[in-house]
Amino acid sequence: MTTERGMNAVAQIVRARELTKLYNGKTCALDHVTIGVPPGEWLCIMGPSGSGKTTLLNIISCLDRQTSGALIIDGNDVERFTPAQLTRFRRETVGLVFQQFHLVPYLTALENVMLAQYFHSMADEEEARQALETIGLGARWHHLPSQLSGGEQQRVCIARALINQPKIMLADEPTGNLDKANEDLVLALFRKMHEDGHTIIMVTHDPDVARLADRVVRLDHGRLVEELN
Amino acid sequence: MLRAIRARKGTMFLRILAKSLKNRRTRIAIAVLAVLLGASLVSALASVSLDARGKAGKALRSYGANILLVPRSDSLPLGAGKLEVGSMGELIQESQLAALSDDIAPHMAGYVPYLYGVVQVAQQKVVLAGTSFGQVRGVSPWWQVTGRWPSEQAPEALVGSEVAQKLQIKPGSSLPISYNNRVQNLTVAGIVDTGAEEDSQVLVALVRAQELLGKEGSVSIVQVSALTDKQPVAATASQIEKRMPQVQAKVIGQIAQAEAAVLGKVELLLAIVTLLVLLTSALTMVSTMTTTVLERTKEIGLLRALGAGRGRIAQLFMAEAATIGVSGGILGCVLGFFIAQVIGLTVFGSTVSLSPLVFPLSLAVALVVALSASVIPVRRAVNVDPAITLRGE
Ligand SMILES: Nc1ncnc2c1ncn2[C@@H]1O[C@H](COP(=O)(O)OP(=O)(O)O)[C@@H](O)[C@H]1O
Ligand SMILES: [Mg+2]
Repeated sequence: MTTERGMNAVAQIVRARELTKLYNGKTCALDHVTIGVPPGEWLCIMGPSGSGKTTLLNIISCLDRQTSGALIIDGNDVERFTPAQLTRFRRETVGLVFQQFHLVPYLTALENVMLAQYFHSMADEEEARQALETIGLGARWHHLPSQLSGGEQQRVCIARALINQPKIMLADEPTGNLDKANEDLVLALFRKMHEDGHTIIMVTHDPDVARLADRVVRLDHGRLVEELN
Repeated sequence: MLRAIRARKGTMFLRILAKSLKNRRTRIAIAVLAVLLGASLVSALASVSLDARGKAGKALRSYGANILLVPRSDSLPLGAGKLEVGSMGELIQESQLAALSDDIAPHMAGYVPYLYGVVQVAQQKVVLAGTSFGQVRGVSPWWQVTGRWPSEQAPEALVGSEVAQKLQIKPGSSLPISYNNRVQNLTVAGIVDTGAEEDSQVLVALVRAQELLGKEGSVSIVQVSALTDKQPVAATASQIEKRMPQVQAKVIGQIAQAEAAVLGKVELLLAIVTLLVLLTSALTMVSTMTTTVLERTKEIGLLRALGAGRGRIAQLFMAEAATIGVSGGILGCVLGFFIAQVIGLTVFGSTVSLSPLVFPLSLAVALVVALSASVIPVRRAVNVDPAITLRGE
């Protein structure tokens, strides 16, 4: 039912054991999930709506805490962290890409990228510009999110998630709101990330996207099922 | 290096703050307006209190003394300075005046003792007034002296303008004064024009008059100039009577008194209105900040997800509140100055000058209102769950 592939082999960057999440003490969003992710792996999580995918990402990204079970990220038992330590750990370790992009509406593309730098350590406009250049939006730096297409917004979001060189990239249906052309552009960025050795944990509904991953797992009613490919 | 990093962090913070304020400028403008109105009334109230009160006090002083100390005696018919000198049987002992320099001193601009007696100058009867020239100059700066003020030590006199005209006296003239067959030769230092009874008197140093009249250590009356900014004159008067049982303290100058009473009422009214408006400012501020936080819940969640700690969120929203407070405070101070002018002109018939205290005071009140009204909304902002961001709620 659950697997810990490679758990004894390579040091794993994410190790979850018997991870359980109850909402309001009854809704069981995660049911004893055990999974290990080695560094550099591209893991895709699939599963029907309501199966607990977002809940799992929230816990791995330290935005939420598990009800029970152990979670070791990059050698740290995050359960022991205080809320402040959790915040610091999050900004230093994970990059987040969302289905709904989530850019600050009144800040330009450049400033949205700089925001992540600012919270991490300090804003560096030159570096942020460079990051936008890399995702092909160098000329659009001064545009507000409302002046960018969905695909462009998502690429800004990726630039923002990458700017602090996080060890783990977490993405919740990053192509869910994009047309085919934009999906290809965004996926190209993830492939580049993968080539560069980033660990990627991505939730997706799209089997074509899942095919790009090293490994696919399936969640069903909060339980983890390994997908063989 | 560290300072450079801090400076750049500060720059980014200001950038976020400025854009966020600009993004919701209409709502911010309403909050600024609310704080502005509160601050303007605080500023107007402070201006009127500090300036007009000082002015009313000055008006009392320029009227002359506002308390007259006379020996306690029911038979003495004394008006405001119109003295029946001959009837003055009883006197005040100078030693009692020490009480005026301690606990009554803070409520006084000054006091002037007078000893009166009738003397002969060139076969004419003239009222001789012994007084302290130093104290007279302090409380009656409008006295016009031709020549110079006499020195307290030398045998010199200040001659009232009417006496001088009648006896053809000029500064520098010699002035033989006789009383009970005793004669003293004085030199006229100056001629004084006060528009009051002093014009028909000869003024000399108190000790000289006491010596000449044979009334060492005594004075006939004391004119007290009480300050009205901290307590009413009547209060000062009864305070004096308590300290000096042999003395009757009479409040004089009723017109200025009435003005001070009006001022008190205006102030009270203004204070009530100010409080109500400040309350409204605070409520508007609470509602503005609450709406802001509710509208921006998603954004706050995002900032938290991007690694902003609770402190950063509090800092951002408190900075927005402080910006509203400071702008409202500054603009309110300007408006308040004009309101104070209107009050000054309609109630007291004079403009109100700007006291340096008014600006920091209204700014501080505006800031306190803006920040304290934001405490609860900001607490709400700080507690936004970052997990909502991924859920896309
Ligand atoms: N904040 C919450 N409070 C209560 N129940 C929640 C909350 N978030 C998610 N759930 C429930 O947990 C289950 C898993 O949700 P989620 O992780 O969002 O699934 P998925 O992302 O796979 O669609 C669902 O039944 C959902 O209704
Ligand atoms: Mg989901």
